[in-house]
Amino acid sequence: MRPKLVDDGLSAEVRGTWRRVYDVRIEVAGGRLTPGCSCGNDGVCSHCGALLLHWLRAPETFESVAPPKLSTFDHQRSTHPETPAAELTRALESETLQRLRAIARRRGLRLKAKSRVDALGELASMLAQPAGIDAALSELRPDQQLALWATWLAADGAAATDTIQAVYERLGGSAQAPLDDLTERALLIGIGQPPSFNVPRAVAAALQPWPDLVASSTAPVPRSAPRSTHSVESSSGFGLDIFDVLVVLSHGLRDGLTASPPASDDTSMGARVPDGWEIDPAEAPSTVPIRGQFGQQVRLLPRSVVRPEDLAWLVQRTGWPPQAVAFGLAMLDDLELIVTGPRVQLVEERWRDFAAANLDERFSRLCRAWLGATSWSELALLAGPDGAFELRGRPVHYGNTPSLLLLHVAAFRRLVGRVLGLLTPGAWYDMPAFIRTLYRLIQHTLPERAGVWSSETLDRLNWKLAEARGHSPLDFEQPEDRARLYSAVLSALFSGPLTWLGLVDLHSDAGMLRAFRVDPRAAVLMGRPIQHSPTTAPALVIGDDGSVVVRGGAPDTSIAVQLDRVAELVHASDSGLHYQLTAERIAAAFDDGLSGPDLVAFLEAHSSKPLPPAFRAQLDRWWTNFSRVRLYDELTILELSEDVLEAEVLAATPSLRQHVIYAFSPRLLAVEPEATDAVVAELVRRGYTPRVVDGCD
Amino acid sequence: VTEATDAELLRAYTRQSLQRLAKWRGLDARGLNKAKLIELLADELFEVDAIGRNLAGLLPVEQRTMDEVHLLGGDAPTALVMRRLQQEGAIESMPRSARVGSTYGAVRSTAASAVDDVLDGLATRGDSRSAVPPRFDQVLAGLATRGLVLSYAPGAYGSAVDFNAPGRRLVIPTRVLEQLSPISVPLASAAQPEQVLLGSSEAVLRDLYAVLAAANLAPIPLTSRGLIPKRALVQLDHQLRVTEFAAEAASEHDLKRLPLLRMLAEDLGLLVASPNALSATDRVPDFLDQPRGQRLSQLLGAYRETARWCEVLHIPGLEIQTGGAGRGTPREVIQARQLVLAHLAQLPTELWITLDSLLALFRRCAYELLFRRQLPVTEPHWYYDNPYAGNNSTGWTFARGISEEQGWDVVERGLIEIVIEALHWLGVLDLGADETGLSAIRITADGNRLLRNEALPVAPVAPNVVVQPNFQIFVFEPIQESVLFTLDQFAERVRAEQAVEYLVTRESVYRAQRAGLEASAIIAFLDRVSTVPLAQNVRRSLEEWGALHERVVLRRATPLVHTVDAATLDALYADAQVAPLLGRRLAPTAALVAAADLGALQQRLLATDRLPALSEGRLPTVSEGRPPVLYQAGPSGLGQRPQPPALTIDADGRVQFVQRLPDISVLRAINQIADSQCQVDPPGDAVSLQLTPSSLRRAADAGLSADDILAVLSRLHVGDVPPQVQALVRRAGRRWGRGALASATLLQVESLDTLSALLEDPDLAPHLHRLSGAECLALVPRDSLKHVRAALQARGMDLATTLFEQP
Repeated sequence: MRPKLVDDGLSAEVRGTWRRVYDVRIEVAGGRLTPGCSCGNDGVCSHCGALLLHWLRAPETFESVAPPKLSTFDHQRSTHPETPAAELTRALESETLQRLRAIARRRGLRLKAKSRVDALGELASMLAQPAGIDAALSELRPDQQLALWATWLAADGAAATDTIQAVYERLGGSAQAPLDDLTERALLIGIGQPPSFNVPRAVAAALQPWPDLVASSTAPVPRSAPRSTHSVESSSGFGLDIFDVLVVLSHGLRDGLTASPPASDDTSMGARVPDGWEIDPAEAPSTVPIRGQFGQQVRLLPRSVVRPEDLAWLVQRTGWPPQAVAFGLAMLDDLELIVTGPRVQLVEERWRDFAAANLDERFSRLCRAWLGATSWSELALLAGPDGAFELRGRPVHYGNTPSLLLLHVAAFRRLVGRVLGLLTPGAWYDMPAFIRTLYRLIQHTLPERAGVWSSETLDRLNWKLAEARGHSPLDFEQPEDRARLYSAVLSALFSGPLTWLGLVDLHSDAGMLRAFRVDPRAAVLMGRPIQHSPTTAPALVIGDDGSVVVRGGAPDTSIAVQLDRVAELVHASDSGLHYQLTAERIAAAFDDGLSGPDLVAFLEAHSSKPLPPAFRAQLDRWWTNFSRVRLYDELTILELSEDVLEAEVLAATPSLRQHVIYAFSPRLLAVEPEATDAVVAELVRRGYTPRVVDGCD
Repeated sequence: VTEATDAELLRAYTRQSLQRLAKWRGLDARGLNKAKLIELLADELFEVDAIGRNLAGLLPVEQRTMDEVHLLGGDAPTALVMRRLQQEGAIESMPRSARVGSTYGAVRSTAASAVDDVLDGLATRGDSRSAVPPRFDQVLAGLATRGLVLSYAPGAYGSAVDFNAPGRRLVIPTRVLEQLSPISVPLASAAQPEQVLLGSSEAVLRDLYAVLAAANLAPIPLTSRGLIPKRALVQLDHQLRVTEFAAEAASEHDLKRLPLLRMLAEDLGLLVASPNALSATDRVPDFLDQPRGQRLSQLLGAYRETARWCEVLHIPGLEIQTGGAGRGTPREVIQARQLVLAHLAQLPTELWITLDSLLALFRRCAYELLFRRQLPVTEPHWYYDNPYAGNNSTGWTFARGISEEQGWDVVERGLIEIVIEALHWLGVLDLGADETGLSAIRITADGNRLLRNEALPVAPVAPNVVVQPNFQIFVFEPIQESVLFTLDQFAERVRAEQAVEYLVTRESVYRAQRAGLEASAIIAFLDRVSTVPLAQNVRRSLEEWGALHERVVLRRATPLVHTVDAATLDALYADAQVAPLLGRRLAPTAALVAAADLGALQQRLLATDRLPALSEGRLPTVSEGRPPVLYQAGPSGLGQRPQPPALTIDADGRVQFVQRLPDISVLRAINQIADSQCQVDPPGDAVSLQLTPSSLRRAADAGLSADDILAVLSRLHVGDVPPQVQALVRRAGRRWGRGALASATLLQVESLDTLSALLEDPDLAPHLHRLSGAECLALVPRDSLKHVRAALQARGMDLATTLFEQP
């Protein structure tokens, strides 16, 4: 599985006789092959042999290991972002010792370190302490508090002084935003010259909600509004949350699925389209774009990671809409939990690490992946095959600058995330008021032009959005068209990722989205831990026949990971993930060191009651009988025709004595395989004529 | 033979030319396009009666021209035919005005003449009474107007040929060719040559067997270039009936017969070359079992098709630049060989034919044996019109600077001679020689049948083998190679002369047994081939050796089922659904399993709630000259999956396995350091082992250090190894060596100076021994105590009985 061509040889995961997976690597140096396999055998074991044979038979299936992905938003998207203290250390590393001491004084901290380097580490560590931040924030004047909020809202990464000042004023501030005051307290970080500012993560996590940022809903919202809209229950009736869906997808991708083939040969012709999109096969260009020139106009469609038939299969397994499943696959890709090549396959170790992490960590990584995504966009929900819009433009021959329109939408997504993060969890907000707030910020916070390597501006886009019914492309010079874009994207955001991720509850009326409520989970948007609501419901429901249902939305994904060791995922339903405990899986888990009592304890602990007696008896039987029989797939054995021969042969052949591993009986000895030739040679020298047989008769 | 249809041949002519022809033949061709013109003329020219009429009215020079094209296969270079007729004086060369070479190789007339004018000229000159022979273009025009010999210009696009300006090739249309009688070319028979070299099919079959037998006994080594190295070449050559004196050769390339045999054997799948050795395959016995005729037929068939053997590369003294193509055999050479064989198949049998006449026949009839010519009728260009200078389809250049006309006698003739030599080795023909060398050949009756792919008569051959009571075996003529090949497997060949002598030994029989030939099969074979009853002592010995072979059986890479006790395995055999998946029971707790049944057995065990533990791969090996490896670690840096913990050890050193039946590599590791052998076979599933001081000392004696033992325990142990066990291993798991405890007397003085003075005193020095590291102490031997005490007291030293504190 996953054969790779690496710098110094070949590598793959090889499934062995008992379906165990071994890491195999064949290194080539100086014209020699150096095999290595996690089965522990020296030399070319059967797994190494299988890899070499596969290379000879199907070299085209080996994937060249690509360099790691580069990300536009590395600091946000990194699966393991730097710690708050490390962020502050990086931000303050150019400061003098005197300046560091001044910051410490402003924060009421006392530095013990004498050198600048030591002082920097000490100060960063103290500044990252939540208690100190809370104290500093509590001392802020209203204008300082407003400036801090304005910076948070303006800074998509970092924001220039002018931008922050504009946002500050749009939010009601007057005079100069007191950025210096905040910087001197290290509540803001100034980067570069002229400086751009951002809010350190530790400070953002401690920022107080801003209840008045968006007007509360005045519409009548039922007191018992559905809480389950953090799942798609309201639309599909299923109760799985995003992590349940990722579990199902991970199962589907464990053995790999064929990657989606290019819809047209645009790639081979060198035509470039944005990542995550492909040319509509019905409109594939008939001519090859000439270097540096634009080709003919085509329509783009969102490109799924897997083939349509496999996507449909995953949709059927999860019960989620196709667009949501495609989103889940894209997030797995962005989180680097799957590898894509000729096949799309789960990276087991990374997935186990991810699933075993606590909810905060998992949710935080998932939201970071979504906020930073460029190859997936909310435009995929609007400009799909049946969407209300079409994404049109001309493929170019070279260059890989992301489309400004997609960058703009991604920045809009992050702005929405920053605003939602400042709202009070649990309170209902009026959607029109939310839109008005966004409009106050959009002008100053979203990019109007692409980076220095592109001449794209919003009024001169390479890839344009047009309404599907033959209308001309939206003109972003026109306020109405801009409003049309933002309205559509906002709708897609709320009905799509924000709902799928469980960040909001929605209240619609007559088909119109009237109000929303921020879920406590949205705390991750500010880098805050999630306030878990205690649940008494057991995570597992175990049947007499060994069927296990993992309750949908259970906070502990690691239960599913542990269940994977002993059970097969059968299907998903509104009640959760349905597994079946199987003898084969349990035997493999026992073989890996799990004991029967441990398994019982695990199942009972998560089902909050004793196992059904019938199944408990079955489990006991399995554990009692386990390893009364052992199967070997390749042993080298010496068979003697008489009992007395053992002593005679062992006495006559010292090399045999050294190489005997185990005596099953006086007539049957296990011998080291590598010693076969030496043993036979010595037996012959001693006058024996042993028969040598490969395998069974 | 032309590949184009007759109508397509007319397409080579210009439309103007075709119109003139149609007009001359009285056909109404007005308004017809070229395709219609061709259709019209083809119907007119290639109708059977019309062909007969046209053939009947030929002038002698036309008949001669047609015969020459016919001899050359019906498709010949124009210039070659012209050259031959000119040499005979049958024609006059073409006027220079007609020799304007076109771009595409055709020869155009400067002005298209009327057909009548051309034919008038031909009629005048073609008359036998004419003193001036006709021009070649006139002859060709006469033949073309009757559709008997047409012309074309290879490679030309569109029309390029006119009736009185022929292209570079002449061709007799197929329908005309079918009406022509064969032309016989007289061959000169020869008298019985002075020296006759009989072709021997027996020799080639025996030598092929010798090569196969050698490769079967031990693979023949190969160099990195795939050649048999000199030493092996000489050894092999010595075993052949027809030797080539390999000792004098620099490499296999310098020999011919042996490499040819090797290549034919490889083509027949009897030998297979791996990167460094040449081995016999399983097909050899079946091949050798076939009648002689079938084997010879297969050999000749392989020779006819082989791409491993290139005759041209073996032409003596011929230098070839292959342009990086190496020593491969071009398709042209294989086709040339096949053409020679086809011609030889037509020769009379058992008749000596002079080599010169044979070669002359080939030169006349197969001038383009190897290379197709594109000769112009004008003076040929040295390179463009000379295939030997490199302008040929093989890309080869013949470095001798030979011209187009000289080339045939060097290259094609050489090729034919090498083919004849190969056929001689294969027993197809006999060679005759005189003082100048090879002078004649004679196709044998069998050779003729082989060349014609006819079966040879089968003469039943009874084995003529005598097995002596002293284990000698003699094989007399007529010898079957298959018998020899089988004998080679289980007997030592002592000599191979008129009779072949073997000796059967226990070692030789064991060698055969290792190769899969059982003693029972050997006895059956000898019973079948021996002309005398097998001696009882020989039979008994063979039976005994067979039994001994079964005493010790070593099975490599075999799947095995191991159970915790005999009762468990009994139960498996008693289960009707499991038992068919089990092989032979080798021990009370172990049974063989066929590799193909392993997966099914696992599933069946799971289905019956007998969850099996699984072990995969080979077990680790103890390296030579190193202490035993307790438990093999995987290669570092590979993200090795940790081995699951296999045991716990309590504070008293008692071992408890996690699994009821641990992997035998775990058992081996623990058995090396624990105090009792693992006893899992008797009923009862408790595995009782204990680490004790004596077991650990035994491990230390075997070369294991305490660190080795602890490393293994930490790998196998569930959780941390108890501190008591660690202490026990540190304490007992090493060799402490010898020690001694004895009482001794120490002398203590107050200073280093004092002790130095005493040690320098001749009276005391022999009785005091300085203690390393102690400045003021010396050891006093028991025997010296009295003397030292007296001497010190004599010096006034106050001697205490306990040591005092040193300042």
